[in-house]
Amino acid sequence: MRASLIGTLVFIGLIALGLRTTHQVHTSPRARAQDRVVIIEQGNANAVVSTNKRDRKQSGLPVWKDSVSGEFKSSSPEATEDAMRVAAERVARHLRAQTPPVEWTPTPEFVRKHMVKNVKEEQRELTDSNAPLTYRATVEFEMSDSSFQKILDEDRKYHVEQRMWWLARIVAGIVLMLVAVAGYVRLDDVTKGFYSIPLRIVALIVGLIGAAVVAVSVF
Amino acid sequence: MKFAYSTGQKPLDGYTIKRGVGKGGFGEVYFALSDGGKEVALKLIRGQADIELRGIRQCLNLKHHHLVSLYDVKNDIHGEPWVVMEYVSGETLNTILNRHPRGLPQELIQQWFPALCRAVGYLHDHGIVHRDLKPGNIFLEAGMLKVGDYGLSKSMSSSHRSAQTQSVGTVHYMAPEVASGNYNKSVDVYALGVILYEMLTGSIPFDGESAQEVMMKHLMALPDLTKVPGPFKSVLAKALAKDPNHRHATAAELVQDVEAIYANVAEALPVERQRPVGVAKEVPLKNNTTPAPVKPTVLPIHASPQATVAEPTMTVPAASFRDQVGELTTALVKSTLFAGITTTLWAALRITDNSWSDIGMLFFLTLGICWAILIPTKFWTVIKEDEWKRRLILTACGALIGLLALWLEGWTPSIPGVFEASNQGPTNTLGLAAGAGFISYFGLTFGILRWWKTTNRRRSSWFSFFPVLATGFWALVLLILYPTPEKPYGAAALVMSSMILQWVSPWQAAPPALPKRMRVRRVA
Repeated sequence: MRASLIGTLVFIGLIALGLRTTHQVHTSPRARAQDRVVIIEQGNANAVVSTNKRDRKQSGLPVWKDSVSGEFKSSSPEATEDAMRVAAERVARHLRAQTPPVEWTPTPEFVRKHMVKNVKEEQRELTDSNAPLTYRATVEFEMSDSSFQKILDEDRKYHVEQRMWWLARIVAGIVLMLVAVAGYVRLDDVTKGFYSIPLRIVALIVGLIGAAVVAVSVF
Repeated sequence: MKFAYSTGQKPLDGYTIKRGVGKGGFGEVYFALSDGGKEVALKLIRGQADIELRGIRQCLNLKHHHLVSLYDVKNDIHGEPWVVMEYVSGETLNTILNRHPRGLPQELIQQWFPALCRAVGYLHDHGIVHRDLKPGNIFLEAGMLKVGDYGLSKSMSSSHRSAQTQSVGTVHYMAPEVASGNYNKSVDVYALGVILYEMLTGSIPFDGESAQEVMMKHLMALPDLTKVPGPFKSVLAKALAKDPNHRHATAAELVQDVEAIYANVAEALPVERQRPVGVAKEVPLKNNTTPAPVKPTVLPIHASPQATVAEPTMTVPAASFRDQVGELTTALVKSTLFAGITTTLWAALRITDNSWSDIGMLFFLTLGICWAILIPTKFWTVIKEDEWKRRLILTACGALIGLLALWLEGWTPSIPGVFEASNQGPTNTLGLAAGAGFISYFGLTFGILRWWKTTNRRRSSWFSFFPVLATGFWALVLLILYPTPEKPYGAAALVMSSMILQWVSPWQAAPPALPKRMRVRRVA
């Protein structure tokens, strides 16, 4: 078969494939949070789980909710901040328990912005009358469809950045090897072979460093 | 290529070997440096050394600016003879002819062929027959032609152009009378005719599967002159005559005929094109006489369209594989640098939200596109090749770039039952639909555009906005297939790449095209 015919067919196929999927992708560019399977955590009285979006809509239930308390702190903001930190750790543990696990660790700020439903504060007066009041915050938070979707997006970004750093190391290694070859050829030409052996040695060292960088990154 | 001596060795007193540059039946040639700092070529003679040296000694005192100078003949401590001669750092005519498979530009033939004839004429005037004239023995250094390898005895070889020879020349340039063993300087005239034929058409007049077949054609067959521009037909028919008595009597006579043709053409050319820039005025031959009046002619350039070499589509490879590797690796490194610079500029303009993932995506896509185009196009050195094959190859490269984009977007390759990704969840949320979009987008943008023209050494100018605009146009039109059009990194990377590819690809200015007047006359 002639290359022109094959080429035409390939182009038509690519256009058809692209157009067929464009609509699908644009209407649903990301798989939604409700498509995921959520593991029900046993032994936690606060955990409420619903994997069915329709059920959740009808009952108004979130995907998952919980509440945690921080340590007693000397001020109210400190107590709230500590509770948020504990909440973020709790959410992170929950996400790790997913199948597959979500590796991104939410920040206390993320929890405060997207997940917190209520913050209760309690004061404790020590027996010593001269001692100051201490505060402890309890955070009630829940993972809704939208917040879970945000978590998935953040997790994707996290993985993408990890991949890019990995790729950057690979590219750096390859560029080192290329520099070794290009540098040797150019400099050997410029010096008309006067320094061939030293240049080869240098090129070999640089090339090996590049290969080592690639090897370390890959394996 | 393994040489007997390596860099730094001093086989000959006063000279330090720097590197080996050639090897053949005669021995080895090295680039060396004298103790005083003079760059020389050292030729180690092996085999019939006595016979070789006898010829060389006859040539030691020849002086001509188109001959490679022989400085001295010396023996090393082992008694092996070495010839100390001028080091010519340029390319051989063979390399240049390989780069022009359909003939050299007329300007170069006009410049080089008379110089070649003058050098050969000078040898003949001193009673020396070269006997092994071939493109591999003709060197070009800074536009100056030099004939080398004279004064050696020869033997036959069946390989074309650059074959090493030992007794009577390379069979493709060998005159018919050599077979009889009774020959004189007319064998050089015949070889000059073959070289002129090759300069004009890019091919040799007689070729075959074996040396015997080629020799038989030299003896019996008439050269096919249909490929030769009209005015040269009679000149070549005479130079390639089977009977030496029917050939030009001397190289000077041959060059007269050729120059007469160009003189007639020159009348129609502007003054500034009559002598190419940087070409020294030739010293007339000793036996040069006033050219015989020749009927005014116009070069039928259409007989050898590539001879003008003004076509921007012509691809010219680097001089050697080593140079090609050097050029390719340099271009790849430069493209990395430029991809970094353009991405930084993009980030500085704050076109996107400048997160690391966005900037990284743009950088790696740009770099991937540049590399995916530079690597295959570097090896497309044939002038006329099926464009569709190239398009298909580039489409495949584009599809790979689509996969790279998909992977950078967070997708993990996974084949059910064969290879399962460790994480099928958040990073695989793009799905196959988006994957198909990426692949079709990059596959089509790679296949539709003629990227090899962007990296062509002989493109019309070093940088042109036209490819950039064309790339931008198609990148935007096909954005409809792109899965995330709100972040058009694919289009941005393609446009950046079309600029970077021009910046990093070697560029060689094409010789000026023939004046319009000439082209009009030619068509008429």
